[in-house]
Amino acid sequence: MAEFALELQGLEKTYGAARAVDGIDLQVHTGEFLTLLGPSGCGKTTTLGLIAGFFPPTAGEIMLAGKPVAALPPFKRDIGVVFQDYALFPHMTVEQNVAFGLRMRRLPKAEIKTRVEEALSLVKLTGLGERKPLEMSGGQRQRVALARALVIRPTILLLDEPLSNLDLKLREDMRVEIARIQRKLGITTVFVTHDQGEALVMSDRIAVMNAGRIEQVGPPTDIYEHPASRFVAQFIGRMNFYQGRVMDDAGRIELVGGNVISGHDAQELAAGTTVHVAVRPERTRISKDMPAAGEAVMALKGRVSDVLFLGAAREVHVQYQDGRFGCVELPNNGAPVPVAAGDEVWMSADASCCHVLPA
Amino acid sequence: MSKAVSLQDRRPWLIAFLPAVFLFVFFGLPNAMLLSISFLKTEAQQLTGELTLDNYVFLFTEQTYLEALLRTFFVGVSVGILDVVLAFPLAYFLVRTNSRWRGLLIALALAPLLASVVVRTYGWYVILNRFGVANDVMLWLGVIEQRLTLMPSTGAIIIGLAHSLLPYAVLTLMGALGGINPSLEKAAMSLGASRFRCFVEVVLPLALPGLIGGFILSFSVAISAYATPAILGGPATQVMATAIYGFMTQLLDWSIGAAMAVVLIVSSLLLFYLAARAGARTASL
Repeated sequence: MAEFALELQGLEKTYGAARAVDGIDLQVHTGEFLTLLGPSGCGKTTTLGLIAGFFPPTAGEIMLAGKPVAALPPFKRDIGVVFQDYALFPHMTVEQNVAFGLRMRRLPKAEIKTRVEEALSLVKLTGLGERKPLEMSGGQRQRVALARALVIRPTILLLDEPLSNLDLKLREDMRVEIARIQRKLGITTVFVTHDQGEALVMSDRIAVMNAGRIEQVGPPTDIYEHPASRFVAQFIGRMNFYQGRVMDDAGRIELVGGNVISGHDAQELAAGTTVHVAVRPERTRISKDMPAAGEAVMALKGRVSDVLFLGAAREVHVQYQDGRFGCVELPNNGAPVPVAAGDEVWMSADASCCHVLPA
Repeated sequence: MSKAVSLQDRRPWLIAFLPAVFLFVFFGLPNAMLLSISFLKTEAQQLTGELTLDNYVFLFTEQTYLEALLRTFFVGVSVGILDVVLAFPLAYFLVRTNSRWRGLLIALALAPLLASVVVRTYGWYVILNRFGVANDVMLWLGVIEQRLTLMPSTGAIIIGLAHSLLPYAVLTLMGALGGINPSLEKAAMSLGASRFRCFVEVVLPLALPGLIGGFILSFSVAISAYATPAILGGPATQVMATAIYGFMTQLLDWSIGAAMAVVLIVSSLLLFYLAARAGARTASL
């Protein structure tokens, strides 16, 4: 048994001068749910296409269950793919769609029949096998596509933004549903999405991609709590950024327009380095009086520009003295918002919640 | 409100009214006249009022005209099949290519439509006649020792028509193939289908309405074509259109000409109907 179900080694794909995938190294463990997360054009779908074999890589190797497959066409790779537009065969019934991969593998008729029934029951479509894809709702088509990819029991399941064509409520249901099925079957899965919510809920690990490269790989909590770069910090969730300068070898940082902090998460920064200090809005406090906690708390003065009501939370937007904006998220716990637009306020956060990132 | 609705309901009729009148006067009536003339007797190049079936009996018993009838359909079927087969790879390429020359390539594929059929057919005349390019090249290559009579012949008519009508088949097939989601082919391959099986199981069934449409279009234009058979064919390779022209303008026997036209129209309508039914069945698959 190979150590990894999937391993990408120095994978590159260029179109002329454009580097769609610019050197990716990644290992996916057997049974793992890994998400490629990034904005559109970051190369995540191209990476998935390379794994599936829809086009050849410019450089690098793809190991599937320990075997190099970069030179193989898709039909020799033993993969299951769910497409964004489902790609169900419109001239075939649901049953025929699901049976397609088994038929290509020339399995006996009786076995095809039982496996198709199993797959349809797995995605809760029992009894709908005679329907045509066009007679089904978006959610049902999604389930057919999933059944069709799973029924061949592939080495790896590839999901290309499978939820982006569904409406919000259904999307949230399908997140849980797909994660449930994936865990039940223990099938290694690579999921491509631009939706951080999906990525955080569903994944064992997330690989955040930007401009053809992987910026950070890790479990959802790591990615959220300890972003490794400014890109990751602002792409996942929301983030306030402050400018700062490292004062000494102990790593104390002076915030521009604010106080001096220590006890943050940065390691070994040379004195004099300019840095970004990033803090989540939900970890930030707001008050009319200056907080007094010395270097364990960052504090910055500003003026409230807006108070937004979001339902479950309220957002206070603050403009700092240097003209930049930040925001504070207050849970809607029944208490009134303590400040109003135009107020002079202090934004503060524990230094332990501050992420120091290279500028 | 209800007034607006009723106006809405009547609007399609208003739009259809003028074309309907036009078609009735210039298409329906002449065809009705043609049909009635085909049952009248012509004597000494004069149409009489006598009802008869002799015109049809003559057509189906006289070998020359029976052959013209069969030749017409042979030409139509050959051109239809040839065009669909030739157009398929071209249309597939044009639909799927990402080349920045795509627009130009499509324009090139359809460019033959810009030249008149007569001009294109004389092009083939220059190539195929006894002292033409084809004979020159084959002599020079040593394939033949004596000049061949490549035309007038049924083959020359088929070549000329297939060339003229290819753009129609390309257009029809591009429509059908353009409607096939490229992800379907990726999906089929990801499920283990080789390129060939992917073609047979997915592309071909979905393109079938386009194939049938392209065939019908080339077929129906081919069986009613006059210029190409007149130039590339001869007295020994008559088709219906040239025979009808002969009866109408040279022999001045409108009765038999009309009967022949009726046979042509009815048989092509019948084929249309069969093909449309086949098309509807595949579309509902």
